[in-house]
Amino acid sequence: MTKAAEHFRKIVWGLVISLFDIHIMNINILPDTVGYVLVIIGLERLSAWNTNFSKAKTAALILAVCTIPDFIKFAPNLLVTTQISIWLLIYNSILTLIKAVLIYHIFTGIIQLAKDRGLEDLYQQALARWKLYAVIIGFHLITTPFQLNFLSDWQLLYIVLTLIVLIVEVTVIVLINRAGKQLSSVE
Amino acid sequence: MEFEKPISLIGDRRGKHLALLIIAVIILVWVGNLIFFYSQQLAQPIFFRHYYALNVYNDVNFSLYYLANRSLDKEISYIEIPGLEISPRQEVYKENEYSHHLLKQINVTVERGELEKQLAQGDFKFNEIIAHLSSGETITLPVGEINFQWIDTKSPLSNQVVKSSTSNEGYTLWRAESAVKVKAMTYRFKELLGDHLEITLNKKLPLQLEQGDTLKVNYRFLFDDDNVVAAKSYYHIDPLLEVETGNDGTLTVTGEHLTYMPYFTNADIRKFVKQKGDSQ
Repeated sequence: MTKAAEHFRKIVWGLVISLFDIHIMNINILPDTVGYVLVIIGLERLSAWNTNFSKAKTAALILAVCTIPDFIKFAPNLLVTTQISIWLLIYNSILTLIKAVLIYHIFTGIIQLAKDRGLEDLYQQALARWKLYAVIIGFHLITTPFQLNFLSDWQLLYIVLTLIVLIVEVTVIVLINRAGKQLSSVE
Repeated sequence: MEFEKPISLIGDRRGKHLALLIIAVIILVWVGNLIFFYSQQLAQPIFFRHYYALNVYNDVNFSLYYLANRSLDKEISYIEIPGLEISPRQEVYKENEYSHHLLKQINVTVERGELEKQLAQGDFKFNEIIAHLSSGETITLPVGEINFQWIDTKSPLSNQVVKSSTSNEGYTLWRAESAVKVKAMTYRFKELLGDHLEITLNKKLPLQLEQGDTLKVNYRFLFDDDNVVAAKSYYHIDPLLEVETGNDGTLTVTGEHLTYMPYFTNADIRKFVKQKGDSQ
């Protein structure tokens, strides 16, 4: 495996860790902060390739700091709790927005590298995946505040939307993994 | 090989405008939802109205229902009943949840001894409870009208209630244990209920019942949507028969409760909160 592939692999594992939480008692053994630190390490090494990876690193750094509370499960699951936390909804929305900036810069970097190296398939796939991600996350961010007032009326919609966001985020990670392999092969 | 421009969504000027527009929409949606959310919040828990006639022959159990904000910012820790020296035993349950509120139920048990002291001085009823909130505040809240009365266990008539599946209608069946003359029938809260409780008897009064004869009374609670507060109240109505027996003279016999428990949709709750807000 080339060095570049290793760095992309770190970003991929970092994003996977940030996507899933495993709690033992109240402690999260896959804290998002650890995931974003891995992403920062991967991006640091790739910064020399493209300045967008450097910009993505700033977003990852903000996320690593902002997700420190994720170590301890203090936040109730909004889909099962009877209580509504406005601050938790705002906090989650801001994290989603910063993560969208992170993904945007990573994809911009990948697309430009794919263009430079003549990888048209990767270029087209990355562009299409980014557009899909942007539409779904945009819809998710616009509908989130409605949970304050209509969570019990639209509970099923929110569960379905959460699943769609998760699936799209997984496909984004899969594409970054593929980009790492293809870009490394023409390094 | 020809490529299109890199990331047209945000990379160019149009893309940046689109991104700014989406962020502006998100902020607007947040502001709108926060304004609506706070407009729906209760300053304090609201009790539904309860019209109960409770019979005392042992400890008395009953349930009171109230609405609280989902944020549980002012949760009820415990309640006291004015006039009773000892706080009743109580347990709070979550009955149902709505967009902004929780419907909660307090199951209250008042000991017979406490009620004996009160009933020795005459009728005992209460219209308000004293609620101690988690915020440390103590407030008095109206709950309707809860009446307590002794029940005569030696009745010349036995009685049972059969409810329909919707529970807001059914019939009550009286059976004569000995020969008795039924002179009239009434029920507590008759004036309050007005046309909202429809009662029909299968026989005309006054009426002589021999041992084993039955008297069937159909009942039906009827509420329209206009008066949400009345329709969304809880009723435990006791039918009262005025009877004459050979040995005991004229008696008032109390039957089993005719109960009405409202059902709430999200729209009902919003309407109820609005009506209560307007009336306070």
